Amino acid sequence: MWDESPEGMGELAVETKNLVRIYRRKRSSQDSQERQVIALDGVNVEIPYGELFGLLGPNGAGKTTLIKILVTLLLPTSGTARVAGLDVVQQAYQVRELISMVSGGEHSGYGLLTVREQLWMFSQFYGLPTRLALARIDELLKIVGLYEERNRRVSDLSTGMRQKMNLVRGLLSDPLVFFLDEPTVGLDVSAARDIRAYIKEWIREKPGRTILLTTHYMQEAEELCDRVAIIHKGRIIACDSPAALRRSAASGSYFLLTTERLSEDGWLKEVPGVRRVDIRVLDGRTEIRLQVAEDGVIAEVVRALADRERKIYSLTKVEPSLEDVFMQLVGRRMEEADEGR
Amino acid sequence: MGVRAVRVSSERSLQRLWRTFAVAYWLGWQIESNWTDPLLFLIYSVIRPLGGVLILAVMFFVVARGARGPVLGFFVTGTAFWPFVVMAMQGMAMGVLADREHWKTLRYIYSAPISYRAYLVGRSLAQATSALAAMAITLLFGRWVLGIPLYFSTIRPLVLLPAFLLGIAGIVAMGLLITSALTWTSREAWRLPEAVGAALYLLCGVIFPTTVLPRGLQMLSMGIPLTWWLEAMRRGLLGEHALLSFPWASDARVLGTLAMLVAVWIIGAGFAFTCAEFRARALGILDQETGH
Repeated sequence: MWDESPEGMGELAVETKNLVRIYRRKRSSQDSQERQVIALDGVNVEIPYGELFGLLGPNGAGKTTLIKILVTLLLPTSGTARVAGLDVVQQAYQVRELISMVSGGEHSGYGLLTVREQLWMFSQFYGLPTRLALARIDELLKIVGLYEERNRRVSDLSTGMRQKMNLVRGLLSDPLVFFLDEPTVGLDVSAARDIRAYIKEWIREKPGRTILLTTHYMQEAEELCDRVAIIHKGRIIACDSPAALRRSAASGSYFLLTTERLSEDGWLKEVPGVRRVDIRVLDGRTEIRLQVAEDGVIAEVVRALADRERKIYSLTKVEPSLEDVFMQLVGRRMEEADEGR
Repeated sequence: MGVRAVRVSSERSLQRLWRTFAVAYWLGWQIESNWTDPLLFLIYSVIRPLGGVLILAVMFFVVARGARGPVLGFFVTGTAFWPFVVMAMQGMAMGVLADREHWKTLRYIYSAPISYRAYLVGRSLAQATSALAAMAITLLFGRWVLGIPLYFSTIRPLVLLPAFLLGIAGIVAMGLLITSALTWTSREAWRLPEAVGAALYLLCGVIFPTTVLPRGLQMLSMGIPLTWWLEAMRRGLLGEHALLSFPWASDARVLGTLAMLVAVWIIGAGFAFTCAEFRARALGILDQETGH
């Protein structure tokens, strides 16, 4: 349980400096030779209190490794990592008092226990008095829609229910810094939406609390995060608010026009303010992707098409997404950049 | 400007240790007993040790051609106390493996603000509790059916009680040592506790006195607390009728040696676990599942 106070922890909820993590793996069980895998390569992150910070990257980018270091499960190879001003290596025990973690995509939990028993057990590890713990468990179970299942065995829960239970487990101790590692991976749309909604609600209701969320879902990062760091091959390659990242995309926003087939399109580049034209022909129609200096330029393009008596079937302004930003930075789409592909 | 925080409710570390131990004990007992309904569990708790002791008794009578007396007493008491080793020592190690591989909770328990050692001890002793029934059933069967020389008059509480407590502490220390090895082990992890248990069964004077072992193995067995524990338990239960592995040693010497060995093994196991834990965190395999 936490009170806001002028005295106490460091200025930043999470801070890493030149964090490096190298795994040494044998090529096979018969092979004595080791290969080095650089999971984190000089990661610098600064997350102030109260922020919902997203770490976005493909599988194998280093997201989980960073979280494992921050929650004291893993030691860094070099560099430093601090949570609430505490060193995760030297002050691991103190760090654990302030944090909590929930990972997605796994079926964790003692299947023989009921939901309530399992949650009570974890509450005891954080020193919550039983009466307070049970009240909080019931309250949180109601919020995530799992109250009716409180006396069911964990083994009888669906994947989505189990993930909600684990979210409750993570929140029981009211952590100062909450680590969410791919919390919605493998969930159906409805369960994922519920979990995202509660994450947003929790951080809104608890000013000063901090969430570090890893995801490879662009939409999730855009919807939830105050700031997003894009991580690729163990390096942070961009870090800003989702809106700023989108703006930073060199392509910027663009217009998508579908017209009657154009026999000749060279004139489009001559329209004042048109920066770039990409054309492709689809089903006898022409799709024109236009980058313009400012939105008003599109009126000139439309006028020019009208002068040439070409019909316009659709006109859409497309804002760049984080996927575009990722593609621009990495040169591939997120799913193409997943490890092993 | 960061929002700062202080802990509102803090617990003394001793309270936290106790709470962790108690909750781990509760969890261990739930896992041990909660897999079926209470009646079936009760029947299982009786039938299982009874079955075990019957098999061993038949083997004994075939090999010993119906011999009774001190040899049978030695055999029955060793069989009665061995489940503590199986349950508490192997149970601790198996518990860690189950947390890591089956329940997938190890990372959440480890990253909670607890003493992981207290957690392990709690899990181990929960398992040991279930060995109590096996011990009682085996001793009663030995006394009333096989006729071992166990009487109220032969029981010496001042030897038995300290020996029992020291032995449990030694078993927990040995469990911690095996658990240390398990934090590094992957594919063969499940076999390790059983392999160690089997070796100790042969070395520590469970069903035959260590005097029948080759000299080198005798020396080895004398460095293991279990050997002295079983010796002390037999002296405490059977008194003058006990067949001894160390007939030259007094009761006080047996207890003293046991206490010293337990202390050494506790310190060694604590050190080994600290090293193993650090190394597992360094290698990144603490919570990694089989196959790494």
